[in-house]
Amino acid sequence: MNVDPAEMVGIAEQLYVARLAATMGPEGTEALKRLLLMVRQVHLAITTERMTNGLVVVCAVDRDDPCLPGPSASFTDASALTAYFDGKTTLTVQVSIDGLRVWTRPLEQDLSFDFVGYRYSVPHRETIFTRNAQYDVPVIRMSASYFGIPYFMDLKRSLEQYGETWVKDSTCEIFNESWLDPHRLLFAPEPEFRMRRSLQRHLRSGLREHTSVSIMPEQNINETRPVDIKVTWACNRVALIEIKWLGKSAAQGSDRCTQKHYAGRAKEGASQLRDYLDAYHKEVPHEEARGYLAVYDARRRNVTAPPSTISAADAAYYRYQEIEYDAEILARPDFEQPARFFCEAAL
Amino acid sequence: MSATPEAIFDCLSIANELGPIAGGAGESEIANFGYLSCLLSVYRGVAPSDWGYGFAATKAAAPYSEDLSDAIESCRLSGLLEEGPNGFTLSARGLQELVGLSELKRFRSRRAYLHAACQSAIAIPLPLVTESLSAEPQLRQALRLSSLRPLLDEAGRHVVLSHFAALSQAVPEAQDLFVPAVVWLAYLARQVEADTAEFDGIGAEEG
Repeated sequence: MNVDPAEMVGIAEQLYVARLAATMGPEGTEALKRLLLMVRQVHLAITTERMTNGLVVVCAVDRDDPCLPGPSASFTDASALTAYFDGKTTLTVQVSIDGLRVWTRPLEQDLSFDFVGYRYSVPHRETIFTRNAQYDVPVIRMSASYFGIPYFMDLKRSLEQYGETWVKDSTCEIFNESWLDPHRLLFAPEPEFRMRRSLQRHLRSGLREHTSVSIMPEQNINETRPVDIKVTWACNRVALIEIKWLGKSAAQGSDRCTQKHYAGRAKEGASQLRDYLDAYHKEVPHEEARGYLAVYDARRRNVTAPPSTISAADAAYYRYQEIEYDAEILARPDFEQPARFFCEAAL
Repeated sequence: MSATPEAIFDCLSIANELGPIAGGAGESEIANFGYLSCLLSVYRGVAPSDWGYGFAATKAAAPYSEDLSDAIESCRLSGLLEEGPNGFTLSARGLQELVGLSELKRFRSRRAYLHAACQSAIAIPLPLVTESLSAEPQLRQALRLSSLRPLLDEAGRHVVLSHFAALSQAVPEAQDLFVPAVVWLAYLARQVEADTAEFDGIGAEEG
């Protein structure tokens, strides 16, 4: 609980906000704030997948002169970029007095005036720069951009976005480490640890209003098995998230699968979650607990260990095969509709 | 239910500030950013009792203010705040009200604290701001003791001031409160990472 002054100084010496403020003073700090707000709005308007040639955003410190010569587009709001930008060029955006100026050309020349800039380079590097310095931006492994994280008030929507954005094509670096092979046919043994870490990281940075997102230690709900993740809000609401994976896992070089999980595994998860919820309501009656089942579905047809090539049809065989759960469980008012994340193979 | 003028002003200001960043402000976000604003005033040497209303820590390590809660309800009922999918936003009348209140001398000094607190969410992802604040020493204590406790009482103020003494040494030149706010939140974020790693039984990873 005691403060560590040396650590505080260390943070101030590293963090781009403090370093920039120390060199550029209040005017530079004010420009940085205007810049960062525009950076977020540009990232929300254009996904990083469409920024294949990078992005530069600049904000002049004490003037409104254009940062590039030649014609530019002008908008009052960055949301206009969604339709304007075709994703085929680089993009240079300047914060202006009445909105933003946009060029589909790179910022190659040195500017003659003081400014604060932001550069997003592919793949996934972000820097803040000025005329004389460059500062690294913190990295969040679950997001392509520190400033472009979509926020969600609702856990269900956040789970849906997680499945679609990070799990479907294994774009989450943490989850991607769960695979045994580059074609994503088999999981390595015990992939659930990385699934928990991946989902926890996603929720911590994108789910609004939570107070904690914890991976639960063993035997915290009952004596048989723990729930995987618990989300706590400031009021008396909690979410209990049970994670299950479907498919097969194997050790490197082995010709035997270590585990094989079919649709029944997801149904077991639903029953377990029902039991957790019953136990939780008894043990902590003053909290409103709600159950969420997250199913990482990597089922493939005709896959064996060690993994070898399979057809596209076999890889996608289970893509649309939804799981039929016990109707009584789904009808519970404290049980959210299970989320199935189908994990695509990379053939 | 009677909301203090300060709580009304703060709740409208926070909803307005978080609009461009996150599309609005949730109820607990208004409490979090209200509390962070109050802490920044303490950092600048203002007595907590001068803030106009008080805060308590919930068992979940979150700040809570009954005055702010009343203010949200009052603003909602009177049509100054509208509730949407991203939390509360200002109605046209709410914005007009805020502009009018901002001109009053009574609220002039707190505008800088509210602005700096909310602007921290452009430098740090919004959910991580509120999560980091849960590592504020008094809130951590509340979580450990699992009890509802007043915040910024004499003992609590003393603990926070030790943090602020270190903070003012770390950023001695910073005139804009946004800078110490972000540095302190980054410091608290490290405490959260350490706590999380300890709880999960793993090594700390990325921040």
